Amino acid sequence: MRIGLQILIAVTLFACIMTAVGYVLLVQLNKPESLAKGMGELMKNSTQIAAFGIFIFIVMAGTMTFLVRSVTSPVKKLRDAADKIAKGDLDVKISTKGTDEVRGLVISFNAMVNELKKAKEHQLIAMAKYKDLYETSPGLYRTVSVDGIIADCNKSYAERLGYTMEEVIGSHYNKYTAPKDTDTMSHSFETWKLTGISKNIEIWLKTKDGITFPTMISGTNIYDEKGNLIGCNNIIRDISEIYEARKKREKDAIMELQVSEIRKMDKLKNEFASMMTHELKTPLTPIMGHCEMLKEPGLIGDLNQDQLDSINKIAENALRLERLIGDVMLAQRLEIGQMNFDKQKFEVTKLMSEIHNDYSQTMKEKQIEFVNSTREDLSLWSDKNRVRQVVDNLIQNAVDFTPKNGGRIEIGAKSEDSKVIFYVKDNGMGIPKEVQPIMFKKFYQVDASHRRKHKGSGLGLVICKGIVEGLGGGIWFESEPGKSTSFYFSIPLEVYYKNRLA
Amino acid sequence: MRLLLIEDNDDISKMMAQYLRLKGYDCVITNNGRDGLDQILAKNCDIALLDLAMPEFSGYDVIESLEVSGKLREQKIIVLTASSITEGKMRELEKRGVYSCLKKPVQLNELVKVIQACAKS
Repeated sequence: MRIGLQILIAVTLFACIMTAVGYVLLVQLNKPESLAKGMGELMKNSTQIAAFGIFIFIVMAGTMTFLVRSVTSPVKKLRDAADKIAKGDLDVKISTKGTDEVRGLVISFNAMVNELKKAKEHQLIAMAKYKDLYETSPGLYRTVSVDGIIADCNKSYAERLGYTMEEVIGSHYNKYTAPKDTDTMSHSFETWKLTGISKNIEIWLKTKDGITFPTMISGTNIYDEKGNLIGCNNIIRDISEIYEARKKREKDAIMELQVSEIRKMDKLKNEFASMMTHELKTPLTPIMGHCEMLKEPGLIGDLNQDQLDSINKIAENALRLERLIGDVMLAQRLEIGQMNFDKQKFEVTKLMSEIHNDYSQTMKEKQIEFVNSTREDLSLWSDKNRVRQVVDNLIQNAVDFTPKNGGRIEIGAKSEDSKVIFYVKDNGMGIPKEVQPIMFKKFYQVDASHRRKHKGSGLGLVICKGIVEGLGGGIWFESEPGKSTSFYFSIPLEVYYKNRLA
Repeated sequence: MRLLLIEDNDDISKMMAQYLRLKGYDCVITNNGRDGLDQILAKNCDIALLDLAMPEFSGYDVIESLEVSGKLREQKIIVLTASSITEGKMRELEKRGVYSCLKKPVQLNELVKVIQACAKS
């Protein structure tokens, strides 16, 4: 309005000046020679002048009105629109009527408003997106001010801790820290406040019910427009599962350590036992040597029959003791894997014949039918002495369990796949079903009285198993209680070929 | 015929020496490997009966020392061992130049047979 008034005054003044100038021009045109005369005529023609002045004024006022309409009105509209925008209302559009210059300005203004509207829309979308992420995320989020008050949190956070969001917002962060971690948490918070650096920190939180659980807390800083630190967004990860897994792993590691300790102890124990049995064997040399000297007629004096009987008993028992200790030593060596095998090529068929020959006398004495049913020409690359030891043990077992009358023992070897299968079959008392699964366990014999009667160490089958497995094979049996027992063991052929080629 | 018994167990060495003397052999006893090696090198015996498992200087050390100086094959040695060495190891020692390897407890009459055979070799 003020601009309009100013323009009106300016135009009026301009009109008056123009009137005066118009009159002067008129006088000069009519009677330029006489100014005084002109003055008189001026008075005379005053009516004309006034009429002219009024005409000019009307023309000027019209022009003015037009100017005010076409310039000040759009400017006012622009100003009103700008005021609205400043208040945040972007819903403004100005009509593009008016002079070319003003119209151009209004078009630019409208374009600017459009751009602003678009930018605001994008901002709204982005904000909605982050708000949604924060609020509906399964992760636990909280926003903490520099004075330690939780300014905001999401539903997950409140729910995990057993509170409502209203209860959480406005409370202190340490209300949710497990007592054991409040100091750590406070220290970390104070450090962050001073340095603005928030490190990932493992903190146990506490629910409303007092249940604690491990979390990993990380934070991002929030600044005001001046760049002052005003708070931080905490992202809290519930690491209960990771913690449990880690605990299990630690437990497993401890277990593993204990197991390896036990194994080490067991090894030491076995080594000690091995050494001890060796020591037990040493005194047998002089005992047996002295017995031999005493027994030999005329060497250190003759003994009477009773003395000789005593010496024979000592010698006999010393020999048995030597065998028992030998069995124990062997079983121990097999168990701790210290058994050394001497592998060489040997004729299986020849070995079986040898064994058959060696036992034939004993079998005849015991009235046992003894058969070697090896039919093939077989060779092996293995430890001949140990293979023989296994067969010997099995034959000894068979002899022990075969009936006094009508006993029969069959030995033999045959090839099967890539193995040689050895077998020792008897028609003895068989192995009761209930003890079959523990036959190869240490110190087992069908009954203890039997062990005393047969004077064995009870380690025969354990030793057999150890040797056979040490040579890469397997041992098993088939038994019909009261009828028969057949022991089998296999020695792989491929070992022979591999070694022969090497 | 002079025999050298290198054996750290006195009961064993005395018993064996007693038997072997009764069988007409001249027996010298030493209870450690180093002394045994010195006596062998000094040619103080015809045949040495050597125990393997001895503290400080073992039967193996004696054999190795003789082998290094190239005298293992010159000296007649019978190894007597109670230690759990395999047949293969025993045969290996024989290949290296030891006359024979026997396992303790050895039967004395068997030992005499081996000594006789060794003396003739």
